[in-house]
Amino acid sequence: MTLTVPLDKQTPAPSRARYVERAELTLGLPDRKPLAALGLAPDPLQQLAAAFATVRTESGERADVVLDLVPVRERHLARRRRRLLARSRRRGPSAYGERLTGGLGTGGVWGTVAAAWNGGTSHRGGERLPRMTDLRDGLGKLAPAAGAVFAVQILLRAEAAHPQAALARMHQLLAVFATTSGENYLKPRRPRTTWSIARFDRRFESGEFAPRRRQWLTVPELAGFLKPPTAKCHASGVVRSGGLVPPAPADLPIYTGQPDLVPLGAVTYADGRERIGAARVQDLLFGLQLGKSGHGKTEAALVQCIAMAHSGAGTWFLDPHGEAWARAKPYLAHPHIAPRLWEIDLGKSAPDQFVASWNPLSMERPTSAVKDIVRSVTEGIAAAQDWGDHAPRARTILARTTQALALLNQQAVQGGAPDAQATLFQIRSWLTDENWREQLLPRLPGRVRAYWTNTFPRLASDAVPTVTYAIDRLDTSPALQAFFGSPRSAYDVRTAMDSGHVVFVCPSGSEADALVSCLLIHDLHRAGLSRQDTPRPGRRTFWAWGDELTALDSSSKGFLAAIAEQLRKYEVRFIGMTQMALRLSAITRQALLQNQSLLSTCAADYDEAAFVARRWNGHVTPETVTELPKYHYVMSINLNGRPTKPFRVRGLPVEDLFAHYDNPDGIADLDRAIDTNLLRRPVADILTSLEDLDATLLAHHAQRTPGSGTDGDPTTFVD
Amino acid sequence: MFDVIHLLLGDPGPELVTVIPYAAGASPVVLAGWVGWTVHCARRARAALADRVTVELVPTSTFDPSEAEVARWARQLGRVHHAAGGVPARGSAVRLRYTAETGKMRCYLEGPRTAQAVLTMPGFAEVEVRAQEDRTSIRPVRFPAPEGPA
Repeated sequence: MTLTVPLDKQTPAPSRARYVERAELTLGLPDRKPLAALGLAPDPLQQLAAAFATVRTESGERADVVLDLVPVRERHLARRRRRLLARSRRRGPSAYGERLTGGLGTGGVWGTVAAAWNGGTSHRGGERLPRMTDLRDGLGKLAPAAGAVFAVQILLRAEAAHPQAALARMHQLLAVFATTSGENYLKPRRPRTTWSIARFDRRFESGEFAPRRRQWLTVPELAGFLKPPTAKCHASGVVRSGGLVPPAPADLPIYTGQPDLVPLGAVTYADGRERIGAARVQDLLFGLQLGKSGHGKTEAALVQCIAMAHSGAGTWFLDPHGEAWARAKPYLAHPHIAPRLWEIDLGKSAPDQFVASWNPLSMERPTSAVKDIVRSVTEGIAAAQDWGDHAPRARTILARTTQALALLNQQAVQGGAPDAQATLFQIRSWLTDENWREQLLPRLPGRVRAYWTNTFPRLASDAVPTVTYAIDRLDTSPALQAFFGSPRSAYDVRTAMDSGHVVFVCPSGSEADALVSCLLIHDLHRAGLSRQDTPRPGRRTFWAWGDELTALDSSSKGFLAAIAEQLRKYEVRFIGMTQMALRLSAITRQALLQNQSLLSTCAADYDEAAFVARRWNGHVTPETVTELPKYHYVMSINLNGRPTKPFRVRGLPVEDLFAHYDNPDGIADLDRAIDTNLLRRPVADILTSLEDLDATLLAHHAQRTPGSGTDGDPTTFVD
Repeated sequence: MFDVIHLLLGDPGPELVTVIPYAAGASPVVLAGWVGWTVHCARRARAALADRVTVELVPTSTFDPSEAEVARWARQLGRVHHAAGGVPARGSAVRLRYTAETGKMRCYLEGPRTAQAVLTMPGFAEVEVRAQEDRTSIRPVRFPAPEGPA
């Protein structure tokens, strides 16, 4: 006979049984005798917090203490006092609750009986006024100076998966209230019968006030349990808000999708109800959002960006982490937004993938000025390379190179050959390929040419690699080669501004995120300033969100200040985000704070928090900011032209706010629309053209050089 | 009937003898009224208990009230019962609930919905009164035009 023995261990399913301990606390002695007045220091809730600290809610444990209060009416109190006084009078002299004389009292029912016993005569002459101390003892805590008196019901309940655990928890709760024992004490009454358990549960769940017996308590007895834990409660397991924040302004607009409002997040209004608070477009000119990474800055910006895109405004969102665009896409996949949508995703680098291109040196736009292009590109690269004040030669060489190439591009465009424009990659060719440069120099004006013939050769050669290093970094990534390698720009932020495009830029995944971000933001600044050519009423409001401002500030110290001061004049509303305001230069910081009409912070390090808190004139303490939970902010905005006090805002996720606009099925159509909008080309095509671009340039310009006089094959010039 | 009265009470006097028959006749009416009133009160209490409001009291880390402040707060709590619109005490008590959630102590204030205005009124400068989830009026946004997908 064989016996099969199962070797696999059978893991018992976790028990779902719950054991509940219940207790109602009632006064053990007549309720005129007071409990101990515990005071507020230390906080009597300290022990309760300690008892709660080990409650594992995730395992199904629960522990609750409820105090139900009903105020005792004055007339009831007065009646009670009369009865207690009468009782005290009858009782006669007493001490420590014991009667001092054995004699019978002469008042009340007993007095009547005694009088009848004596033949209807009473010993009026022997009646004495009661002692004050006896009256005071008789009234106990219910003396007229007692203040508010409450009828109280105290219920304790502990629940656990094991009966001993529930019992232990209940003992802890009872121990907390044992500290109130004084002249009187609280006696636990545990419901035993089914009826009494059901009655307890009904009271506990519903809030029904039906205490087992009358018990009136005064405020000094209850004070420790009448308020939330104070600063004197040093237990760590207490939910605290971190600090006081003024309430939201009563006239803060409520967002329901209005195009003239910008959503901020969930705000608790004066009636205690949470609504979506908003700032007015006319009031919000420049915003600054501070705080730790991962605490909701980007999400808040994304919510605003999607809202403004749906409202018809132009938006520009620099998404360095690349996640915001993926989240936003289904909410923007709608027919009225798709024709306006541009996507610059530098994570795409496969040869057959379609990408958009941008040539920062392009001169195709008639209003482009060479000096603006030079400044934008030079400052962008210098900021990304963190040159600061340490590389004046490199900065000058870069500016001169950019100037030369921009002038050549201008000629190419004027000559009807926009495909013969130089790109950023030609900066390296210009500096390192002397023959190529010298063949193009004759096309430049004399003053420009003089620099390259007279000054540049005298500079030390070690300055050139500092410049080409930036371009070399761009050249390491097919995505960046494709993005910057096309002579013609499909991406033109000025067009986006004027036409209300919705632009998402995701440099994530490329090897030079900071360089791309810097170039793009400097280009945004340049394009914003170029709106000088448009009368003020004709400037369409354009919203821009940019992260990691600190990286932009490292070189061009006045640049961010200029953005804060100038772009708003040209209807470009910029909202910048950074983790560390203190890392910004003093000039930038002052300009940002001086011009902000939205200042927001999520949780931050103490120094940062103290810095922001000072801006709010002490309305918020640094501790408040450091202890903000995730996705919660403190912010102040401009409202009706005046700055508000800071108020709390809870971040709202995109999914909740725009649930009606989630359209994942429309993403394929959206991608096709973006291909059309941005004239996207396959990566392989762009890279192939880039290989021959130096030769193409040379061919075009050499053809036009006076005296060259040949229309032959362009490649012959290279050879 | 008078014999029964005399039998039970001896000689109660002429006035009482006159009143007792009427009192006996009115007692069922009084009893019915009392029962009706009791049922009415019970119904009001039950209705109030079925519709209560909860707010969370979140103190700051520097919250340090004096006893006088707590006494003033107690007076405010007392108004919850009065603000309940005549609901009997059984259904209009204000409740302070201390509970543990993942090892953290939270303090809630509960009361009848009719007293919501009092419940949501901050009693201490450094205690934030937070609405519970059901107090949120946040709904997904609908842009006026053009409309989103159906």
